[in-house]
Amino acid sequence: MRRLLLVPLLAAAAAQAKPPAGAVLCAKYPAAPECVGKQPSCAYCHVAPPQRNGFGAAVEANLAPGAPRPLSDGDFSMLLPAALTAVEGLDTDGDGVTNLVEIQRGTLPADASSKPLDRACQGDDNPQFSVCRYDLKYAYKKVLLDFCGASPTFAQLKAFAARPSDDDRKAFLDAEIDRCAATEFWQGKNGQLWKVAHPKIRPVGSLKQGEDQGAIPLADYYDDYALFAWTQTGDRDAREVLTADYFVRRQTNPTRYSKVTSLTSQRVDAAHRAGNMTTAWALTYFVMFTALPRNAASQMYRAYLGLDIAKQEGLYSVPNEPQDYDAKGVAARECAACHATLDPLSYPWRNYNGISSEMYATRYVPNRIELGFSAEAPRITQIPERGVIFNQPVDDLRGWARVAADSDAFAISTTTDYWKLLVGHAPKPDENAEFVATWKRFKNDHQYRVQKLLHDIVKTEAYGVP
Amino acid sequence: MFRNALMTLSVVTAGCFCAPPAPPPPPQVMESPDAGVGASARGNLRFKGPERLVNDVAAALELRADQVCTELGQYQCASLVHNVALGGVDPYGPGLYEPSGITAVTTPLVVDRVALSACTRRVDADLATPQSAVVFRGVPLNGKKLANPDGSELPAVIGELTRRVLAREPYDREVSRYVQLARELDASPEAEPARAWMQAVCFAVVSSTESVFY
Amino acid sequence: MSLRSNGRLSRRQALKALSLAAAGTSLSPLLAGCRSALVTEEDVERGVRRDALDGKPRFLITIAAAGGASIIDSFLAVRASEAGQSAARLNTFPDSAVQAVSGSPFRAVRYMGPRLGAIPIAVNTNQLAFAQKYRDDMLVATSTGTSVNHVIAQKRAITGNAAWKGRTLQEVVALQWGQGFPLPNVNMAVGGYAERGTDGSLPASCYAETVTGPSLWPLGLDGAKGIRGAPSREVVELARRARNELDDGSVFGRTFGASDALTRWRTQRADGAKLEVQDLITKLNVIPDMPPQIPLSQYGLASSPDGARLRQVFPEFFTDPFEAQAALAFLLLKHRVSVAVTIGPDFNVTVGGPTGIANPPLAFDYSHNDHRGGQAYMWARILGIIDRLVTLLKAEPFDATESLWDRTMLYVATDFGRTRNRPDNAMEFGSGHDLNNGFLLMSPMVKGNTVLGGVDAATTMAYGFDARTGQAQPGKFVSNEPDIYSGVLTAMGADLSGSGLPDASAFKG
Repeated sequence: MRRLLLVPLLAAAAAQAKPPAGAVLCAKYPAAPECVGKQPSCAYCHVAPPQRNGFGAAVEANLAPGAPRPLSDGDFSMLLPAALTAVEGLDTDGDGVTNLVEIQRGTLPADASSKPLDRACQGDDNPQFSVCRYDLKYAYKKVLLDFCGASPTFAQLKAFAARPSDDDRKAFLDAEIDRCAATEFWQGKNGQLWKVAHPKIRPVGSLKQGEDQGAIPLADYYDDYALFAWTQTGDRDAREVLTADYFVRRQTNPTRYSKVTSLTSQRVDAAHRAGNMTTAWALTYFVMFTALPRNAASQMYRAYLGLDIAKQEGLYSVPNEPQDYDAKGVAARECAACHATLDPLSYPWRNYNGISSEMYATRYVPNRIELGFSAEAPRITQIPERGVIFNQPVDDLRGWARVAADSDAFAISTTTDYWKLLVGHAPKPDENAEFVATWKRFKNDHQYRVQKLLHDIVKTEAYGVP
Repeated sequence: MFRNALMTLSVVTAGCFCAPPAPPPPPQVMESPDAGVGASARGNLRFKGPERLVNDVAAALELRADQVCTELGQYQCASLVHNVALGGVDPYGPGLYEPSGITAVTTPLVVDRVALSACTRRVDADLATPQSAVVFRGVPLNGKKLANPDGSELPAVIGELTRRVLAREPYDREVSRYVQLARELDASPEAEPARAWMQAVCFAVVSSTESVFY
Repeated sequence: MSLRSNGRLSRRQALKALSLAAAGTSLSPLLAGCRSALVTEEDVERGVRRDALDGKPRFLITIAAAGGASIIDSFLAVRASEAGQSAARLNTFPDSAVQAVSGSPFRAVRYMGPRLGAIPIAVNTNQLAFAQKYRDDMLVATSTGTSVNHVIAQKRAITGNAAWKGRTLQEVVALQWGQGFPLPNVNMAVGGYAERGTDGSLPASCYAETVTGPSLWPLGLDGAKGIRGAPSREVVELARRARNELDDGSVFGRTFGASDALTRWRTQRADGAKLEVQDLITKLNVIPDMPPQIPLSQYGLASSPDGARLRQVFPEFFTDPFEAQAALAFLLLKHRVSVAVTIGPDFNVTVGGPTGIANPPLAFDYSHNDHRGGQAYMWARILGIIDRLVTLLKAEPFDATESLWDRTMLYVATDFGRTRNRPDNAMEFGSGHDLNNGFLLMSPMVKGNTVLGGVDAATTMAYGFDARTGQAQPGKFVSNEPDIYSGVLTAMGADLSGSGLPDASAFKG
């Protein structure tokens, strides 16, 4: 009976990779840590699609056994929950923890080194540390090192210990965070904020224009660092790193950032600016010479939303995509699974020029494709400016930026950046509850103020329990 | 009487005819705990990395950051030559945008270089101008040797160093081990055992795990 | 040839080999490399068996050709006359620019252009001499990758797209042959080529030591030498002993002693001592004693005995990081420091060399701007470094019967290929990223003078091959990253038991 039902379903169009898998898994296990504000990537079941890891192989063996492969997306989505149920009691990675518990606890059912750590804290306070509870003295040392770049002195520690109460010490810690966040170590050139920004901006010294000019000066990416630092400090909305229609000037000795409406080093008009996605450097380096700058879209998706399409993260396939307007062959089966998300994500860049024309370099140019790329492919001028991000249609890049900035992914990614900077690693499964509470407060209570996020992270047990 | 004469001799050797500086205040030596030390369940330690390491060493030894360590007298150890080995990034050149997050095989050696360079500079300065000595002050010398390894001055210096580098008082085990180090050097063929001890104890404290991790 | 015409080393070479062997013997108890931790029942599962541990290391030099080194702009180039009607719109060359390599399936491109994209330097390159010189040690395998993202594709070029538990080739080589090597895996490359694999179960020393400044990096190979006014080695050792005792017993040490960070640190401290024993701060130091800028002798340091020779071979050593990397790579192998070394150009402009530009911006990815010129220039750069490196390795004895080159695999990893289309008959045009390409392997261990797969001249796309038999398979355009990965290891004679890797016997000589 079941097999008969499958026949017409299986006749439907099939795709090799299965972007719906994450959504189906999260529909079945909505409380799983991997599903709170995000979806598991393909790596949850695959080494690299189509190659499956142990967990993926076990699921696959229970997924309509005997039915011809590949399954259609519809069949796959319908049958996956049962297959997941079938493997819940197994321990596919042999780490002594069942798959169901691993899913529920946020560890990886295909990785024996990833399993819930029920760390029973042993022992009382020792002469230097309170090992089983939040240790204010330990946190104080870390705060000064993390934010000011230097340990407290003997005298400072004595004074801290001599404060009248823990509440007073906590208030002092908060004040110290704010004091140190104004230092060069935190916000100055090559300081901690710049370090957070490096993988987002991806500077290349030899192409640097202006200060510290390189051999072939093309653009000044210090403007990008300035905007980033501005949005991450003070009572400012971090989302403006993606949505700003202004620039930020950096002055030195000491470092000061100030908002300006124009900079000689930037060329995109105010009506088309989208923060660090449309700076001279971003367009120079990520758009460069290309007509459809998929590289720019995927970089921003990765850098500011924490979703790496090349790792099959953040896939939200758009029906009838990719259209392959530029005739790059991306409609081929092995490419389409990612490009059904990536190409609609890239369309809003169609009028942002990189450095393919000196006259139009790093500007928004209406009809850019028609002006400069019409000979590249027969349908290339049909590339729309409308795109899709997170299944939401957007008219242009500023619309893209708005959806991106307001997403859970942005809040999670920003919180992860600072969690890694301060705690020293990406959130671990046993830190997940604190992490989720932290990013939700950042988004909902703090309205994306990084300065408040920093205080919250310092207050977590992940930070303050030795 | 004899000891005072030796002290005077050492001060004259150093080129100063004024009264010897007072040693640091005696440490409030803590008793080393026995077996019952509660261990961390999280074990979330982080290496300080190039900037924090240099800042802390500079502050502890009252050096400028650019005096802490240079290679060949001109190339900054932490910010340039050994930046990546110390866990730093190199974004503008080879495009190393994120730190590895873990120490490398060469990291301990580079930490040793940084510690030894800074300590050598501190010891040299303190010996050259004992009146303004920062750490190694009031240590009586007998020529190139420590005049009295068992006196109260060595624990005072060890306490000073521990407070400066580790922001705490020393444990009795630390004091006795570093005093023992003085005796070991005194018995060695080392030509300048006093200077060597100052360098060695400074190096040991500055490059200790407690100093470089947090 | 590595050896003299009679197949033997010269007397001088033999003496050097014997002295090296003797040094290796005396040091061996001190030098516990990454594999020494692996004499366990898990060895087979990990892919290490006794037959791979014959005590004779093999070496892997990975040349990370960042940006996309196109195989049809080098050894598999297509002549316009072969491509028929599509020739004008595809990346085909005038027939005269594609030279035959006598007795070989390889081709070689001659390119002359008045400028390099927007950079006003003439490009004048010819790959023929290289191909003729090395054809018997060359194997080209066609490829289809799975990513056109630089970083991702770079990493997949060294993991075969997670072909073996996510281990990089360099990590596998370090695991199999790194015993007794203080830094089995040194990586000087960038981007995905510098990333660590995803198999966290390997001994820590199998993961790469990152080096970004090869010229001065050796100064960090000793904790005390070269520090003016530092105490004697004996004093430093006494101090270290006191420190280490106190560290282990301190409240801090007992609180965090079980942490990964301190566990690793204790191991690394011990490993660091092994570097000092070998005096690598001298042996690997290519920079000259040149006061006042480089006052080595004033600081008790010295240049490597090979320094002058290497500076002559790599005259741009000071200004071109790629040349400095190559010099260090040679010394790392010569002194048995590493079995896997990764080098390559980065995306920065490097000023210097005969034309004034040693490295164009974005390396091979400059092809976006000027495909022909960019590829020709960068291939010349890569092949020039390889030529000099191989010459050095051939002259360096491994033991009484073999040279270092005889036991070295040189793998030119690259991100991906380039798009094939061009405006009609354009000689200057830009290209994008394409999954279709090919890889160059060089070694006496590969099946030399061989092309695995081929190129469909009508499309200029490379088709695949059977990795076991070597039979070409026109019409096959599916991903074969695991074949390439397995081919590198198979040719080296690695023990692949339990790996699940495809049979890639066709690569082996």
